[in-house]
Amino acid sequence: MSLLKNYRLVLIIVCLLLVCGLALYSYVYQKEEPMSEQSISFEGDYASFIKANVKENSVVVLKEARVTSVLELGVKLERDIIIQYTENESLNFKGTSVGDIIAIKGDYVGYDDLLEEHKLINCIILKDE
Amino acid sequence: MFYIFTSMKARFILFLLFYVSLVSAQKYATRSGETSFIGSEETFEQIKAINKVSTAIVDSSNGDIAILLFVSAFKFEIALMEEHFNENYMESSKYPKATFVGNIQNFKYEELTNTGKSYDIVGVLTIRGIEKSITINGRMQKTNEGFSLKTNFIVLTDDYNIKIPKVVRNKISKKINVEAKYELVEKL
Repeated sequence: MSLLKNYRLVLIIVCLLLVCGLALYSYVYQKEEPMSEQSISFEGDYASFIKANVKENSVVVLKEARVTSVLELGVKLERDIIIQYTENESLNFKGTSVGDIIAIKGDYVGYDDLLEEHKLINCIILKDE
Repeated sequence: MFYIFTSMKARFILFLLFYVSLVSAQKYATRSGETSFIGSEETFEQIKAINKVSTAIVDSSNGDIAILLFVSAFKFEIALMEEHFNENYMESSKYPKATFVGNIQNFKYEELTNTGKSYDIVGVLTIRGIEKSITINGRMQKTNEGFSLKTNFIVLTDDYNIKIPKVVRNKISKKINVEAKYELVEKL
């Protein structure tokens, strides 16, 4: 009887350790939220983006922005917005050309004083806009 | 009179065109430079990150160089590490940029070759708003569209007041190994 009790105790401890281990593992290795699901800090067109003085490190949706230049893994929008995307997203940006009006969502990292342009990274194209 | 005016105007426009082309010809830049670092002791999960959107500009006439990178653009394999890096160590919302402004010593664009040459780069590295003078060694090589710059140097966390909690002190190194690879082109 006492042996069975001991086994039960060991089993409970092992189960607890397993649950804690799994919880810790899923906490440490949690996946980064995809850009499409991230909550938006600013949404608007180019003019309102410039006026809004958006803070660094915020998720931005830019609507009705004109493509003024096509770069490698990036696109220039309007006069001074550079949006960059990852290789995984390059297929969706394929076919984007100068003069296109597009809507994008990305991380606004800040104003690049050297090239005098606003920089957005991890951008995705919003096709339905 | 009209002839003189038009010829002066033409000369002025020519001068402007020449000046603009000269100025633009002197600057080489990239907006997709790679800056990476390894900041861990021998740990199970290595603490390393890469920033693929660093900006660098070199004035080829005198070797002046400026580099700007956004701290939050560093990407880690583990999202939690990235979060801790931005919020606890680098405070990227308070100090979003890291910069380097300096000069490539004895730089002569004409002397660049396809095999590469080493240069000392002297300047000021600013991280978390703290400026420190540093000298780094960089290897520069001529490429089809401009030239490349590769460098590797150590950043001390104490120099920039980056506080490492006691719990993780044996996991995070106080000497951060930084590597940078920039492909600079004449026109962006």
